[in-house]
Amino acid sequence: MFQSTNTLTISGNEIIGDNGNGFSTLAGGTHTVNGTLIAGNLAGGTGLVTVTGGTLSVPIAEIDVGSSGSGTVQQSGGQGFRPPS
Amino acid sequence: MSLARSIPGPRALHAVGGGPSPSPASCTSRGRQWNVQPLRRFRHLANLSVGENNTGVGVYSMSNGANLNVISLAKIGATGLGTFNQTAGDPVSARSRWPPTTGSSGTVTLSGTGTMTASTITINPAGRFNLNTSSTGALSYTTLNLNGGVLAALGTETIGVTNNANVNHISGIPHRRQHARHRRRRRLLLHLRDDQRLAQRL
Repeated sequence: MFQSTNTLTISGNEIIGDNGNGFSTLAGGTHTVNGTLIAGNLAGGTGLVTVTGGTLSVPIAEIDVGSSGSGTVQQSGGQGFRPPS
Repeated sequence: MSLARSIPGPRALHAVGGGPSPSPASCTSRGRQWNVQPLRRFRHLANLSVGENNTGVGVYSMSNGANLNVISLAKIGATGLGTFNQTAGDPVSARSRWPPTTGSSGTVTLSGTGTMTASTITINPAGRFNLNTSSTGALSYTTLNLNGGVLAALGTETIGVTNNANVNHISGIPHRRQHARHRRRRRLLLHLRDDQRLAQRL
């Protein structure tokens, strides 16, 4: 998944790499997950989340990087996990 | 889609850590005491877990002008292997504001011009916090619980400059260079005392 503009809101959970490989890149805009954001959920899952711009927000629950799998978050810009204003 | 762990849904906001002490707290170490003002209380909840379960391997890297704000609890290596690296290669500092907790196999490295603000930091066994910041980087916390892990600071560590600072050393290896500096200062003070005694005898 690649997002560079606009607003994406997920009311539940978002899983990047459940039992396979998953990739998500945020380059702009606002990406909000109201549930739990997981990168690498199951033991065979690999999740990569890259934030180069924009705002990644998990305002209520949590983010798991490598729950039971392998997860990586690379944040080289933008804002992560901004609280609701 | 099955989940490896129970995922809580959206729940009521709850503040964990990061709150101010009701009264100015103090830290007493080697006869010195610090009393300063508390940090503000965070009002929202958002957790970060890197390496959650025992087979989990997580890496979180911050660089450049990245901004991270975890309101409640950050676990680096809860029961898995977690690594958190924060650095900033340009004059714009990467900033974190969170209460990090290193768990069973967690490593946190703060380097460069990175700035990290936490209410409570707990370093558990097999946890390691590398503080390698430059002169403009900083780690700020209200309470540091060293519970069997390692806190390795390359630069100068100053406790309680403008805020409350509590250091609870349960076990583990704290502030290696700080200990060396204290040993040198203690030796110097002992030499001065011996010189004074010798002068009084003369």
